[in-house]
Amino acid sequence: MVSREPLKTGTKADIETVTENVTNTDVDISKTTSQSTISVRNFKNLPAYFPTRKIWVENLDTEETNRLGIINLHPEIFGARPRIDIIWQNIVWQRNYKYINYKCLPAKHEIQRSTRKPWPQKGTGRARHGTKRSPLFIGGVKTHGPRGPRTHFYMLQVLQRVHGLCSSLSIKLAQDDLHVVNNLEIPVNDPSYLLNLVETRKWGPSVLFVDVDDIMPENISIAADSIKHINLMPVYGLNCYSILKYTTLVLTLNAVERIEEKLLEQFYGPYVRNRKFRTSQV
Amino acid sequence: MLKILPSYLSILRSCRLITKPNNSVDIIKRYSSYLSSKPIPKDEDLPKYEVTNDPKEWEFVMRLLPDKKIPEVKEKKEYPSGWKPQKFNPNMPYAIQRTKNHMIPIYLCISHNNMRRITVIKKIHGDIWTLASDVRNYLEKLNKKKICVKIHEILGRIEVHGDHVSNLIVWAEKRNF
Amino acid sequence: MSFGKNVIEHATDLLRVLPRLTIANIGPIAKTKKKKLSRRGDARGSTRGLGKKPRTAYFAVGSETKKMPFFIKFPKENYYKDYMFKREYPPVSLVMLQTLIDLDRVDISKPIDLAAICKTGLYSFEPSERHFGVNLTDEGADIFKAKINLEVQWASESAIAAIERNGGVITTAYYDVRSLHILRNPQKFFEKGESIPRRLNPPDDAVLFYTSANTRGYLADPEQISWERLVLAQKYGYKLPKLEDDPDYEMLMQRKDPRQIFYGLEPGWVVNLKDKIILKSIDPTVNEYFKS
Repeated sequence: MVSREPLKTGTKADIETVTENVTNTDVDISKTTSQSTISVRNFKNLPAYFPTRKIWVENLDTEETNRLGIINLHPEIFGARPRIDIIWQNIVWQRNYKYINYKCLPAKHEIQRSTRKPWPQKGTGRARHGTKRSPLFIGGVKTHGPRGPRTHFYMLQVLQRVHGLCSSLSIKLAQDDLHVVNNLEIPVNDPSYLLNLVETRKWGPSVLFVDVDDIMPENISIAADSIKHINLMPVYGLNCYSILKYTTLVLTLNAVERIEEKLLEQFYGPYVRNRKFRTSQV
Repeated sequence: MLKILPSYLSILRSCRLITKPNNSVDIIKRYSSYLSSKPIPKDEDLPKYEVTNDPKEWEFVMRLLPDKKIPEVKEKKEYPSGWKPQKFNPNMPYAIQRTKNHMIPIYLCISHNNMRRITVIKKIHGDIWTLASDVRNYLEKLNKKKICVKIHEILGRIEVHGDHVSNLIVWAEKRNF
Repeated sequence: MSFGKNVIEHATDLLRVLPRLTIANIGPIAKTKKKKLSRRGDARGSTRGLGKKPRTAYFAVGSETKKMPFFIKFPKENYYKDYMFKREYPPVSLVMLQTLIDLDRVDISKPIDLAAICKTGLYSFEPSERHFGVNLTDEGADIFKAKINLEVQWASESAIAAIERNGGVITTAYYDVRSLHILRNPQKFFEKGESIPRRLNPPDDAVLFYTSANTRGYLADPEQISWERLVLAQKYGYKLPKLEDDPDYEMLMQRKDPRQIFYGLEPGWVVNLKDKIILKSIDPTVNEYFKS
């Protein structure tokens, strides 16, 4: 079992503690927060024209859902414009960049055929030809045929990738397919527990659990290992394709903070030259 | 006696100097290939150094590194450059979000060999249709001619035919955008 | 009038009713038809309406019938001679500098140099294209109100006057190409683990600029500079603030050594960003080399 860090209660610079300025909210938050340790995250200097985005924090200890508290999500990331066209660009890119076309037809010099002139230029009454390898002959070369392994690799712009992530996360939230849990600790390492949990909560057949680190808690790793449609993923591997592929996306509280931190860095960082192929992005 | 070749810059990057018995310095070359290069001298032959951990000196390094996030603007009495801070007015049906550099996102797009000039207002929130009609009325009064406006509701942006950047920035600053 | 409903809210309401967005039902919004540039035979086969032989329809470039061509008749204009070898200084106006100060992008409590301006990401220059740093122009000299210790590579007289009127100090300093590359992105340089090189002296044609007190060159005599400050104040008609009485006297007096690239970091040092340590040579031969 990997030791987990305790939940951060408003330690970040961006996020204030819960106790102050809880006014214009639909749910009485002060009650829920007094019971639990989870903080409603209030964002500093956020323009008022952004829509508010809130979500319940749930648990994984029991099969039935137990709401631990409510948190604010950053509206620029979880309440972004649902740009389906940008998501489509991301998915096309994700399909294409790893695709290699191995199709190859021989060139003129590679065809095994005589280089001799098939018949004399004059006197035969037939059309003039220099070689039987030409594309006019059956078994000859194919003009502009596919040549060799050809990569379809290209890189999407950084902001397109960032906007793609933001839109797909916002769409998941809008369609009630996004859930936040306090951590990924489950009591047993039995796969049937996880299956029952998904069924009772109506999380659909396929679920993707996202945490900050790539070393997950032991029980859930063993339980999800044998189920093909329930998977675990670290934050650095989050992508548009996977978000749409799974019915439900489950984020931990730390993962939410990490996603917001990394994506806002892209929105509000200074201009960096030649950041197209940096591996440290997002 | 120092005997320094003209290509000393590239050589001293790695600080590898070897002192010869006749007290002259022979500078290591940057060889073109791995095979032709000579083995790296032993640690005893390399110049000696000390490790320092002075926080005062480290401040000079820290000021060179770029910020991860563009800082918020502190409140000041006056801004001599003419920049104005944004103020959100909930009574207005629309708002324009500032860019990450705290500027108003109004730009000029030039195309077709300088023949087509289109002013673009980006990052619009709220009722975009009211904003478009307000912009059109304002510009039509100024220019005394019809102005075409194109609205992208999903992108939250408006395109105005013609070069109206300076006029529109004045218009936006009046409304504290 | 209240704040209008956001487009995002409209879209969210719609998305709640619509079926779940998956890879199976996603697609591009609009398929724009690609305009065909040219059909077969359009490009080279036809005469494009210029007659049968378009080459004959025009004169050759520069030729005038039975006359001396103009480019032979007139003498050469040498204004652009050797333009590919001349130094260029991409400009920064005083308005831009004031805006950077207003928006807290540069810290005026510390001396401002090329690295501080590049750090904002709003000034771009390419040392490989013969850009040798900042040219401070006098646009917005009247509105400029900041007391700064500035180091640029080129400055006009009125720009110098605008900075000194506000009690600031300006220096023009030369950096060689390698130093400019380092100043543009110091983090990238530190990550390489190389020792900080020493700055080279200016080339022959720049020596006059960087040694004269008129232009506040970094190699000029300090006494002459203080004299020239007084002369410029009288020429432009402002009262020169006394540097000695200034509370920020120490900051305003900070200068780089002619061999130094960064403030406070000497040539020959190696900066380790990961362990936050600085390695300094104690070898006498190395130290003698890096000594200015």
